[in-house]
Amino acid sequence: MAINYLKDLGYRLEDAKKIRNSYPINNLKDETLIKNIKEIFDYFLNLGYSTYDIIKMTNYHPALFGIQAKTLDLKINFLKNIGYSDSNISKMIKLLPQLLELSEDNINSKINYLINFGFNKEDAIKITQNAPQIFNYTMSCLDDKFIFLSNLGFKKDDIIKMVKFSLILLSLSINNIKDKIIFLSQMGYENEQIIKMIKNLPILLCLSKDNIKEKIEFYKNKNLDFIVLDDTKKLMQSISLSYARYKYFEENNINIDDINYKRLFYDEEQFKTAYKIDKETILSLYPYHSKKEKVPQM
Amino acid sequence: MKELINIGISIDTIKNMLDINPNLNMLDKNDINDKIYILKNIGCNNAIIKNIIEANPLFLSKNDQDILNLIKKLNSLNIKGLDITFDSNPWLLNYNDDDIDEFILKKKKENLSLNEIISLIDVGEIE
Repeated sequence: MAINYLKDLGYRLEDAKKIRNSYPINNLKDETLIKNIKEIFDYFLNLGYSTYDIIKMTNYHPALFGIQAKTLDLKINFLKNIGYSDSNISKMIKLLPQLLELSEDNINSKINYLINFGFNKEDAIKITQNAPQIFNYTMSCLDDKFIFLSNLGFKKDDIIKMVKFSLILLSLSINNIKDKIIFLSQMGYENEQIIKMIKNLPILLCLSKDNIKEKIEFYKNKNLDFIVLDDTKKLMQSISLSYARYKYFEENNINIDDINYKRLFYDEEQFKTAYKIDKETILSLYPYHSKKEKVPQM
Repeated sequence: MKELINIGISIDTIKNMLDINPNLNMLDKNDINDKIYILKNIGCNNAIIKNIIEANPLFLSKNDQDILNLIKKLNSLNIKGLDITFDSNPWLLNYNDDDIDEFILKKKKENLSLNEIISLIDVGEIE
């Protein structure tokens, strides 16, 4: 009966069965579960969540159907009182519905941990709203990450700046970071250079190895490898755009070097004003064919 | 997960992506295929799709309609070549259309022109 009710709401049969059999839902009688499902749907629909979102959230965390709406309301008000906006609470819950089951002490202690480390409250809120999974970490897990970064050679101020620049940095595991560092070292960079690159662009740790490699190799081939070390932020720009602009300059006999390389990275308005050619045109004139192009099997 | 492997993402990378999106392994194939379809529709090639998903697996958990609304908003601002915009800043996909409105309003109060604000969004300097 509860399974059919879930199916009528839009759940796939396999998800409905999974929810019905999950703990602690499996202890509820069908009538009670249906009443709870209705209550939770009404609650979130009233808050402006779509049916799609509610289905996703409860698939991720079926235990939501075991919580009363008034308890959820208290938790959401608690988050608002800490300083999260309605829109950010909604994003956090959609991403990590488990958040609604965490204790207020747990949430407060993680915010205080970040504040004690040196972030201000506004930063702590921004960090956790972008990476709410931090609330699931133990204190020792956070300690380990900070110690690990510090052992790599980052000073406390560097770590604070890096996390503020890349709010999801703390959600990366130590192994994930190690993996990227080993990869950069295999690309020929010394430890100090790697530290410098990560300080310049902490989000580098979130880019895939293929993506980083492709960009580094491109700039190296053009004798522009100083960009990687000294202006690492420029690695954010899509390789397709860098390539197309480089080709455009080449065809117009403009040599790109350490003095004028920034024109490769002009914003669209600047570039259009300076060279009378827009992004779409330049990309169609000089298409970049990635080495890793692969046909997906849909 | 098969869908991620099919676009060339390795198992090791998927493990790393789980750090950022812990619910990644709970997504069904339609969640992932729908996102790939949306990205293809705005002109992303396979390499760009791979870059975006590897760097920002969080967006795979987003509601399709929220992503479409964001794209509509960016189109209405006349930002061209969204494939390149998202390849340069995959995290822009985590914003909603109302976040963009809020950002524009905030920057207008700082006396920036709409063109200047659009450039900031296009290069990913949005907070």
